[in-house]
Order: sequence, then structure tokens, then C-alpha cells
Amino acid sequence: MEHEEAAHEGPLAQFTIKRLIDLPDIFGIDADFTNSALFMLISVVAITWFLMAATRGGNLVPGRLQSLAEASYGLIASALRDNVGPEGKKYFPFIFSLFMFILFANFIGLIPVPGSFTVTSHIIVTFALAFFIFIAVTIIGLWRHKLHFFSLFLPAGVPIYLAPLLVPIEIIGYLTRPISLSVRLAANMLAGHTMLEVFAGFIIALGIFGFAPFIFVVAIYGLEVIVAFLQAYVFAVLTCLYLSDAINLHKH
Amino acid sequence: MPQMDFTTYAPQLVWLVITFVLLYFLMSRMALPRIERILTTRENRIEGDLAEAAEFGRKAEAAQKAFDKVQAETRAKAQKLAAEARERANAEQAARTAKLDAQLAEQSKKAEGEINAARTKAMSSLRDVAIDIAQAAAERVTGATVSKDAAAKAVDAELKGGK
Repeated sequence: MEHEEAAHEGPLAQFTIKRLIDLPDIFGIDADFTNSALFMLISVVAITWFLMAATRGGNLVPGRLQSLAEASYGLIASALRDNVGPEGKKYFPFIFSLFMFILFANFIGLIPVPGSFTVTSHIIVTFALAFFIFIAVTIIGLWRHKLHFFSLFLPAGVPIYLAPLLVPIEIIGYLTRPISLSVRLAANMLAGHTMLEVFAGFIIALGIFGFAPFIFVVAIYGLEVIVAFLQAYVFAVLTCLYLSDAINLHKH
Repeated sequence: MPQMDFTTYAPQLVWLVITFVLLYFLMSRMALPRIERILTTRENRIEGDLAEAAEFGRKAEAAQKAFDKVQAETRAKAQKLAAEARERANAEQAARTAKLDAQLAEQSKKAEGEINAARTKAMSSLRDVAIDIAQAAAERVTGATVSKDAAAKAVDAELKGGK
């Protein structure tokens, strides 16, 4: 508890990491069970429960829940198929887990209960995911194409005299992928939740005129639900695209 | 800003790895195979049903063809029978007509013969009567006896001339 910062009281207080259980360090790494860890675990349990409960009957004609489970499967399967092709099939469980993890973390973070926490609003979490994808994709690309992988930085059909200009741009673009991917998600979550908190504060402050920010908060909340889904989907689709670059180079 | 509190990075990363690896195995070992099984079962079922429907369609078509064939055969047979019956009736009719014609011709020939015979007979008896009358009339008128031959000659000349 000694790490907790008491300074956060405003709209950013909701992002505070609270140490719930003090655990011994693993190889000198601080592994305390925090509220972030709790919500990660809740997400995993919720995803698993949702998918297993939805598919329990295994009905030929799906019910509501089963349709939803099949739709989430189909969404990621088609994104992978369209972007990567049949080669991407073995990465499907990873992309699907990634999508569901982010989606459920985003949604659960939106449930307005005291102590609610959005795992994906922390840049370190999204950056870790994005960086892992970046490293994995680079290794897959090098493994499959060896040195030919670097042709990725020189798009086909480009005049050779443009290479000194284009190659650095492509390399920078490639290296900034984990940053853009992680910042896009974390910033969206951070901004949405902060805005909700700020305007929710106005409801009480304005007294009788509080209905105006109240309506605004309801509208923004609806928007945030869409953003929560969209950002998870964008993260998954971009991962598919990066994977496609590594597997197909520029041919796809 | 809590996001910039580096002391919280380590526990977040540790638990991210733990929970994400857990999720990966739950998905790849439990949830995804189950959904996949449901989807393949459905796909197979739909494919099977479609194949079955196509098979039924083929059978129905074959039955229709067989029916059409039988119908055509039956119709041809009926037409043949009708034609045969008509021909037979026509032949019978023709035979009967011919027979009747022959019979009638024979009868009319016979009747004609009879008429001719009767006429000759009548003519010959008329001549005898005429001769007798002529003989008797000449005797009465003239008082002279006329021989039968002369009378006959006169009657014959008259009959010939009268004609």
C-alpha cells in the first residue's frame, strides 16, 4: 500500500493502481495483486464463462448467446482470413484471445460501479501487448523470408532513386507501430473515462441544471460503448495487417 | 497521472502475462475448438441436407421421365390399336359393300333377263294374236280367205315398219 499515491482525487483517480494483495516478488520482480490484475482476471473469467455458457448446448440453430459467441468467432476469423489468408490460421487463437481480452477489459471498465477499473487505460498494458506483437511479427517475418524480409521496407515498383527517401520512412513507420497501436487504445480509454468523470462531476455541481451534463454523460457513455468495441476490433485488425506484412511481405 | 507511476508497471506486466497466457490456453484448448465443432457440424449438416435435396430432385426428375415415357408409349399403343380397328372396320365395310354390290348386280341382271324373256315371249304371243286377228279381220271384211302365212307376213311387215 505504500506505493499508492493519495494525490489522485480528480477525474484521474479512477486510474489509480491499488495493491490488493501483497505477494512475494518473483525473481526480484514486484508481483503484487493489484486492482488491475483483478480486472484482468475478471475479464478472463468473463470471456471463458461467456463462451462456454453460450456454446454449452451446441445447438444447430443458435440462440442469442450462442449467436454472439459465433459472431465474435466469425468476426476475427474473417478479419484474419481477409488480411492474412489461410497462412494465418495458426495465429487465430492468439488474435481471438487478444480481441476478447481487450474487448472485455474495455466493457468491464465501463460498468459504473465503485472501484471500477479499465485495464486497457494503462499505456504499459497496451504497450506490452503491442510490443509483444511487434517482436513476434518481426521474428515470424525473418523466420519465413530470412533476409528477404527487409524488402518490406522498399515497396515493389518504386523507382530506385526514391529508395534513400522511402526506406527510412518505411523503417520509422515500422518501428513506430507498437507505439501507435498501444497509444491509440490507451488514449481512447483514458480520454473517454476522463471525460465521463469530468462531466459526471458537473451533474452535482450544477444542481437543478445538472440534467444537461447528465444527458451529455448518457450520450457519451453510449459513444464509449461503441469506442470500446471499435478499439478492440481495430487492435485485432491491425495485428492481422502486421502479421500479413510479415507472412506475405507486400504481395497481399 | 497514475499511468506514469513506474512502480506499478511490474505488477501490471506480471499479471498481464499470467492472465493472458491463461486466456490463451482457455481459448485454444476449450472455447475455440467447441465453437469450431459447432460451426463444422452445422456446415456439414447444411451440405448434407443440400446433397440430399439434390438427390431427391434427381429422383423426382427420373420418375417424371419414366412417367412421361410410359405415357408416350401408352398413347402410341392406343393410337396403333385405334388405327388397326379403324382399318379392320373399313376393310369389313368394303368387303360387305362389294358383296352387296355383286349381289345386287346379279339380281338386277337376273331380273333384266327375266324381263327380256317376258318381253320376247309377250312379243311373240302378240304376233300370233295379231296374225289371228289380221286373218279373221281380213276374212270378215273381204270375205276372202287369207292364208296364215300371208297374214303372218303382213303382220311382220307391220311390226317391223311400226317400230
